[in-house]
Amino acid sequence: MDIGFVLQQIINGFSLGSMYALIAIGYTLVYGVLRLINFAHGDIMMVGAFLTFILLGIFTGWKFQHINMPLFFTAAGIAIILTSIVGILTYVIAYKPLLDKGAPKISLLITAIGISFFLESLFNVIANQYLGGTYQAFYFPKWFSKIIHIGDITIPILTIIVPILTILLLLLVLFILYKTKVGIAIRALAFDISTVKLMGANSNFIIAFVFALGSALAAIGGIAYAMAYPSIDPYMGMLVGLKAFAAAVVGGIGSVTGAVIGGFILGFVEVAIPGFFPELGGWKDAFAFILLIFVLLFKPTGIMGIDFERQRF
Amino acid sequence: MRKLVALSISAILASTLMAKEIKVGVLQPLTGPIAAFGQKTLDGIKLVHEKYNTLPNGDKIKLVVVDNQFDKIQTVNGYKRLVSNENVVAVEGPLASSMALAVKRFANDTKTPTVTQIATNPRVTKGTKYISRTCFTDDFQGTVAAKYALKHNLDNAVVVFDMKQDYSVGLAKAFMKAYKKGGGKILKTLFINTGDKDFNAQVAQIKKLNPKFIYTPIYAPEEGLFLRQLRAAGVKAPVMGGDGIADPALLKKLAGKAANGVMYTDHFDAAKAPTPLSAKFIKDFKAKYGRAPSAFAATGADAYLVIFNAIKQCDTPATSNDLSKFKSCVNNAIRHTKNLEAVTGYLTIDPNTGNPINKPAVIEKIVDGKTQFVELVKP
Amino acid sequence: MSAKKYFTLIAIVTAVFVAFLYFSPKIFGSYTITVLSNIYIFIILAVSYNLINGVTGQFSLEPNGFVAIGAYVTAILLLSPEIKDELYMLSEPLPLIRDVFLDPSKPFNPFLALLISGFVASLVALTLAFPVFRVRGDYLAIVTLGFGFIIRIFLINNPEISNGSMGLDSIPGFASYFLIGIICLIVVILVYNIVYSRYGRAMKAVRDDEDAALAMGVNTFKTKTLAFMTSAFFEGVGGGLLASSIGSISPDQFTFMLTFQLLIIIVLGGLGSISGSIIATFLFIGGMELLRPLDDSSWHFGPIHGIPGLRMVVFSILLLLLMLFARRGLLGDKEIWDYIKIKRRINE
Repeated sequence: MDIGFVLQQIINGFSLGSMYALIAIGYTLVYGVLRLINFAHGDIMMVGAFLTFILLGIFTGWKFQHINMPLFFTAAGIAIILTSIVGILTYVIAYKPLLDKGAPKISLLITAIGISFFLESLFNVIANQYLGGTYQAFYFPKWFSKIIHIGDITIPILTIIVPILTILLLLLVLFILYKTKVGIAIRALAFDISTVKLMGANSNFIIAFVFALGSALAAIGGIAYAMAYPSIDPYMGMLVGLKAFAAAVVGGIGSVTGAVIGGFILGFVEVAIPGFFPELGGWKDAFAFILLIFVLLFKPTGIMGIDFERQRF
Repeated sequence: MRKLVALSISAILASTLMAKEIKVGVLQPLTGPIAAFGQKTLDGIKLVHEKYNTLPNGDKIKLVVVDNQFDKIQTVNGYKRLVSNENVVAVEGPLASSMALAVKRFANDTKTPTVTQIATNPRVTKGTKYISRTCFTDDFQGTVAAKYALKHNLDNAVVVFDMKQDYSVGLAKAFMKAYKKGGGKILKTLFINTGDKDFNAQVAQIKKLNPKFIYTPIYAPEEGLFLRQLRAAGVKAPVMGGDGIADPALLKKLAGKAANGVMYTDHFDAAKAPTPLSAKFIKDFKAKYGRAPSAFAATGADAYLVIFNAIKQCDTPATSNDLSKFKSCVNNAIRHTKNLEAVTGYLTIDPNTGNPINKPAVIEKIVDGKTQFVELVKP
Repeated sequence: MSAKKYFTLIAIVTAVFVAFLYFSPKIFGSYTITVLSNIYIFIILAVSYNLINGVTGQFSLEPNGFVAIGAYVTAILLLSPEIKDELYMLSEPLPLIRDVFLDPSKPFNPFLALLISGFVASLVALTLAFPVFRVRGDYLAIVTLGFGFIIRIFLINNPEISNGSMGLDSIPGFASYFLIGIICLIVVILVYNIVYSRYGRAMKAVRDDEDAALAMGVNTFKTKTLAFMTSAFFEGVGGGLLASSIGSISPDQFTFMLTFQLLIIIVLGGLGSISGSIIATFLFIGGMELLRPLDDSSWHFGPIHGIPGLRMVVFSILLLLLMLFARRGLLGDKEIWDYIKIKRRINE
């Protein structure tokens, strides 16, 4: 096994893992606060990528030519904001009424699946009816597809940018959680929701903020994913989302750092195993769940091992 | 006077008897994951039906279209609905091999002549008298690709196929058999899964092996991204696929420049009409839909023409009791189709196997998002 | 309900239903009969799925996995070695897979195959129970969902067992309309008896308050595992029937879509209600047919046009509305005769 091949796999694993990590953070935040698996979170990532695509289409008159940096970042920025709003809306429309009624958790999970299917089929209809097909090519400035050659290794610029961006975003989330008022409120809410309500804090605002933050990160993950693999379709978020959730559990659900670590681990596993054992390539989509089952068997709290009785995030 | 009455009564009787409607079922995926294929097929069928819908004795053929949603339960339901509720004489479709296999038993049970146009799995027509097809099989398509590669001295290859698609697996197997037989060396078989977007692991392998030829019997959405990543990694070997990637527009969208030079085997080339009927069909198709017909439209039209030609040769049943006799006559005529002028060429069906005899394939190449004819391969 | 009354009720239901099964093929066309047998199979699946999801309150998303196991086991058992040699195109079948054969022409063999399918499914459920029920709640959903994926990936990647993505065809069609109907009746009666037995009460106790149940001496792990295994057993049997009635199976038939459909059915009928699930199956499959024009682009109603895929949008909205406004479904967790009884009491 030559060293170039190994290095190449490591770089690819990092890049794929970052995208899982960005999505996993959203799962962990929502789970930490509401103890709810937001099944629709993977589809939120799809929404982020699709909205960017649609905005770019509108900006360029559906020709997708001459996409420069300012144009792209404007589109991506608006899409991220819109996606956060979609995230807030899913909370307000689908989860909040049930939470207010004190509905059992199973109802919340079913609604989450409903939202997930709704987003998928809605964008399926939009794509087929107005965009001309289920599969769309994703366009972005040419600079991002530059490739650096070091000896035998090829490194697309994106595979360096995305992991760095992920680490920066992780630091930002940690800063928000530990150094800002909202962050303290989020942690308090995660600890004891009813007491926080009694203290007079606006729990709805805080939860909505959590959804917005998670959705924004998912949108960034989605855009990065669409740039790395520039084909988008309405169902792209389903499997990625589930895998990201598995990553969050592997890393230790409830821990933001754990989510990122879990994401990286999953990225490595998915790249390395088919890379070194090609005959296992067909099992790629199952690794996340097999990993999950093992973690549940031997260390149910995950790698970061958050003890929900004592600490948060 | 009496004579006149008798005459007019017999005329009325005759006309009501004459203007009978004969139903032909069309069972295709019009929604679901491969809806686009079904829609394209239906376009082709509708176009030929407009022209060829009246039998010599004045009877009209009516199409009954049912959506199978690319789902086995719906396929079986739809088939039964066509046969038992609509009393169709014959069924056109379904296009995918897995769905055609699902109706096999019911075609046998109800003795309904069924013509599928693009189910390329060899098992579809095996062991049944009632399913025929108008396309070549995977075995042939794989052989064509293998022969082409060997002819151009591309004697070692990597095969990339999609584990999740029976079509892909079957085609890969056929290619490898023919390629090895012809003296080629398969360096490695790599697989992907439908919906995969990251092919870096496979690309890294290919780069290491440095093959002369890469055979990719997969579908266009995966092929597009695969090509992009393959070329980005600096692999320059020629790539060939099957009819599953015959979607140049999508390939160009997904792969950009990387789509240039990729080849595929197909049923038909709209730029090279093999028969006068075919030339007319292509012209009418462009006039009606504003684009050239795809292989789906062309083969769909073929299957309809085979059914139409068979019905023409049989006496229309006087009562519904004779329907089964009529159906068996139609089936027999389908199986004995000889040199029928159709869209993809002249069709002859082998009465024993239900497969067409000597059906050629075309090899196409993508240049700047457009297809370019490479060669015609006869069995 | 007293024992005597109960048996009279069962006897009446059985008699009426068997009479219907006997006479319906003479009244309806073969298409309607096919749809009805699909409905019976879905009733089997929905009622058993409800056992774990509704009655025991464990939100699991696994039925597609167990149905797939059942379908494949039945198919492998009933296909002769000669047919298998011809079928397995991707790789030679394993000797065990090739040689295991229950001749479907012998009278009891198909039933034996169905029973074995059920047992294999519940055995898999048992092994799955250990990681899954170690932790409570939501993990179950994600692990069972992943399990469905793993089963499909297993089937695709092991052509020597399952013939990979090509699937199996020429499966003997022993599952006639009458037989499916009878098995459906038996399953419903069995599940009813389980739900209203001591075990059923333990299951409901787990659903309502697991800690309380534990404190009262209910072995919650055992109860959950038992419910899971029972549910898997009947889903396996249903899968076997499905394989035989369609005649051909492949891994892509058993996607999450199947689970989603069953989920809508049991939520619509009311989680925990058997008669609710039965009514909902009729409504759902009927509704699917009624909403079909939504997918047809040539259909329009005033300004609204059919768009391919629109039906799924409407279905997910319906599920959401149902959860938001009628969370308890049609019947809640009660049975239809409970309502009749209450009404009668009010009238008196």
